[in-house]
Amino acid sequence: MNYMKKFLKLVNNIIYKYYFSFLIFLITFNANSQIIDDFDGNLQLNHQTFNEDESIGAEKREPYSNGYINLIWKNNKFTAGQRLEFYKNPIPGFEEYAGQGISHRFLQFRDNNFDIIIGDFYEEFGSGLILKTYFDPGLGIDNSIDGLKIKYFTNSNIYLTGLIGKQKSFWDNQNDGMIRAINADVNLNNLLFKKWSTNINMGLSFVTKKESDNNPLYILPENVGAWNGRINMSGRKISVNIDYAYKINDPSSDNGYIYKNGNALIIESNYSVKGLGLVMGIKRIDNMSFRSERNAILQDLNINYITPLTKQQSYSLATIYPYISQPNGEMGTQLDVYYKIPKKTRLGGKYGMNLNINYSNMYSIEKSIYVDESLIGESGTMGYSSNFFSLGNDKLFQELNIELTKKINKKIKLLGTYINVQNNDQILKSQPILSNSNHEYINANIFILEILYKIKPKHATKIELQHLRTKEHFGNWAMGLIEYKLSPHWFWSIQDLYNYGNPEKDTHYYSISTGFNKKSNRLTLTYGKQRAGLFCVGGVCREVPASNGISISLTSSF
Amino acid sequence: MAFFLLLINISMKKIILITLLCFLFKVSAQIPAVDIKDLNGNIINTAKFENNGNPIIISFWATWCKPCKQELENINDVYEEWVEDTSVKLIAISIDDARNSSKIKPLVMSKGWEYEIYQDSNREFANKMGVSPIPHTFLLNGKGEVVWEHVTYTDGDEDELYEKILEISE
Amino acid sequence: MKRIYLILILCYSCDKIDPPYTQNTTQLSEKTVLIEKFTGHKCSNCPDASRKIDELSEFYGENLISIAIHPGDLPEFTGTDDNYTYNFTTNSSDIIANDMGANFLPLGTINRIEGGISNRCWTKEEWATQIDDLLYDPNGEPLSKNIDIEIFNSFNEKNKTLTIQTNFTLNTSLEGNHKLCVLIIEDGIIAPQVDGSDYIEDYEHNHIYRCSVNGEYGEEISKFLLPGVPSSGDFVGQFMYSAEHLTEINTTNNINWTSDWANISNCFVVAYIYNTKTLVIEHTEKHPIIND
Repeated sequence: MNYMKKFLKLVNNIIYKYYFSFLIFLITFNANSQIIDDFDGNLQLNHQTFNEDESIGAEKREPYSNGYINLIWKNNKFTAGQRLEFYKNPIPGFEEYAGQGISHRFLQFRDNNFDIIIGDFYEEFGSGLILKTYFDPGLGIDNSIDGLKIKYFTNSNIYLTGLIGKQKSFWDNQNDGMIRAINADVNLNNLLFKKWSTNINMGLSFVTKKESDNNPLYILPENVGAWNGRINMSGRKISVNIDYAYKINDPSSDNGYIYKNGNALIIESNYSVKGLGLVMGIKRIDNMSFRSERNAILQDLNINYITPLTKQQSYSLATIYPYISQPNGEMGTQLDVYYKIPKKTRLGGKYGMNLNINYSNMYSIEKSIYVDESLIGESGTMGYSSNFFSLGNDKLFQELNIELTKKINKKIKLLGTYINVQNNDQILKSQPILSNSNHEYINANIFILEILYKIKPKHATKIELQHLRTKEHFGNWAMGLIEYKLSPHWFWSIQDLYNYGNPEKDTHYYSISTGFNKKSNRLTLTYGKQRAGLFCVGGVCREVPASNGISISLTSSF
Repeated sequence: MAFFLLLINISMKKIILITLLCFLFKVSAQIPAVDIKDLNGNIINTAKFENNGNPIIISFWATWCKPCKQELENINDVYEEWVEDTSVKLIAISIDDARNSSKIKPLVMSKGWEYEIYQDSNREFANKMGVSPIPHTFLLNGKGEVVWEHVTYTDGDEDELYEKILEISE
Repeated sequence: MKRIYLILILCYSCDKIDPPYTQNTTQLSEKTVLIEKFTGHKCSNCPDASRKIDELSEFYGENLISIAIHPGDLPEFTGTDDNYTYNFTTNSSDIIANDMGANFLPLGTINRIEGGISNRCWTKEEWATQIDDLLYDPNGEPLSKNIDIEIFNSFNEKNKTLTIQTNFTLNTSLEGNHKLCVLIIEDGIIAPQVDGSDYIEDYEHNHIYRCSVNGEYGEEISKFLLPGVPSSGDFVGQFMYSAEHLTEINTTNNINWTSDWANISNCFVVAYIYNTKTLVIEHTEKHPIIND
């Protein structure tokens, strides 16, 4: 056993010393290859400077650079890959990423029945309600599992997956928690309902994490298991998806060390015919934070992903008061209507008009004192009991979006949007506040007009005007943007966000940008001020301070 | 796995050198084999994408990405002609995760798009294809090799794509 | 083959714990642990941390000594305004908060050991495990203390002067240089605090860091060693503070605390000795100023 260890250590040292040369060899060798069929990858590089700016509360910082490069080699049935990453002077929220090195490496084999991967891998069971590991560098999320995954599939559409490993936390993959999981996805049409025109797919997963109990105060479960069952029925016009998850006692920092089980139910259905689409979803989450380590916070070591049920916004003023997912308890609904008002009608005009209405709301869940206990949510107790069908006392969020898109003629297209948003920041407590104020229940109305004007072929401009009106928090905002695009390579834009209703001082956040793209490469350069934002994961928010400076971004794939 | 060091100290200069070499030594690629889902929840293997030896367009998009929807909308206006003239097939891969996946089919149907639509909700296929910002559109020739790709979209970009399709159709 | 794998996994799967969920205390240790809790009156999660310290104090009794510091460099949580008028910050405790890495709240240092979420700061869930590791060895046996500290306070009511005498004894010979730090804390300050969504006007703030007596980082114990005394066994060093130094400890930039000793019966002297190289605290003691 000792010799084995010494041998591995020797191999380790050799790889360490000569790794760089080895990598160069691998990259250049493939041009001549019988061994390597394909070599490709992609990269992203970012650089941002921070100047002092008293008018927006921006501080001077060292310039922040970060980037990654993915390299993938393929031969017949084997694939090997790695990702090199570096972070220099990271901003708050990314401090633990400081440094550089190999953040991801794997070896994969795939044929007609097996898909086996050893090393770091990403995986999602269903919609991710008990397991989703993914890479999102913008949010600083990389919770890949380092271990072994075996996937087996047959021609009759049964997919079985088994995996075991430890999750990655920043640069460290030797944390205490270990994950073991199995998943089955079955298409029932091939097995049972062969003649049905409705597609029925079922899935069943089981995930367990193992972490030792070092806590002197409480007796903690070392093995915490969660299971998930899902069924999707898809017909020609209607489809329904039901997703249910259950987790046994999992006292953690997220839920205040209570012993209650967790459960989640998400039901989504939609109806689609040509020209009309309807979507309805309801969801209820109760104590479903699930991490590899009990005391991890923010974006660190999440095993699962709680699907947000609110609209994903892209307009800048619409992203000021977002809803923050509450894994400890939330319930709500969402409705969407997509309708194309037909051409040649009075409203539709020559080309038709697209209408999208979205409505969503979120409430807290009902909590009452558990038998024999005296408080709700006390550490070291069951915590609370909750009636599944009752709404909680607090409305956390509500949003109504109405969006109309109309093409006027070959040159002009208009988009008009109205949003009413109610954000209970009193409870969510995610917004930054002014001194002498408290977190409030915010009620805001937003109007947005976007005009797309095609001057001549290959020359297009966009004008965006937005206005947010509210009596609470920072008051009213106005925003204007002009963008000019020259096909196929260039764009220029200038914008200003003006918080004129701010009770303390009205502030302009202006910026100019330009970008160049060719084939699969893109370079953008932005100079100006950025307003303070929120960095929120799993119910906890950190403020990202306002900044003033230059930011450069390069993405490329090869 | 403990014997495969995670924190090898590769300096910035070395990373830049590796980057430059990658651009020089690139090899033309076949698309990787990844499991993704169709709009009915059935699992499909990307290696099985085929169009009888005719060109295939693979476009990565999402329901929240305006330029992506604009590109697919503009191509939709001329899609019938394209198919008639070149037998090209457009496969649109949505990288929407569970948050928006139930909205894909209703959105597509309301707009009347005639493409083959798939869901890559954990970005597995997108990562293997080197896709980061979207829209990212690829053109595959009759043998399934990537011969052209483009990121971002401006009105009129689809003309360049069509010229390329005509080129490889001959 | 697949079936076996399945069964193996399910066997390891689930620990369902039945109540009671708390463990019983083991035998008392001789050592003490100092927890410097960083908190703020505008920090809504901070009262939870105070409750956690109360829970830990019940569990560990006199082995746990706590100090509360409101870091002045986090004004969104510790600054004053119309609703939160009391200023809990002091110059010397601000220096400590910055050096320990308190960049959000609530956090706490545990004998200033290295690690945790930021420099030497730990989140409240991690406190129990770290405290336990300092008081007990891996087998659960209580660890013995390396230093003994005794504090004698005498307060003269008539001319409002305070004399502090701190004697320390080394039970084993200690390697490296050490410093002794003496400070004063106060209990029972009634002032506003936000707790979750509630604004509590008459919240009771305890263990508040009021002033340092011999500098925020103390002084080398070599200054106080008694000549001619053997290096362990009898008490080896003595630190004396008396009324002449009064004006020095007045300059703490906290208008709410003056040395007229209005709440003397709520005040305590805390003294700790730490290793100057590792910065880890060896032993701490606390003693009320007015002895009953």
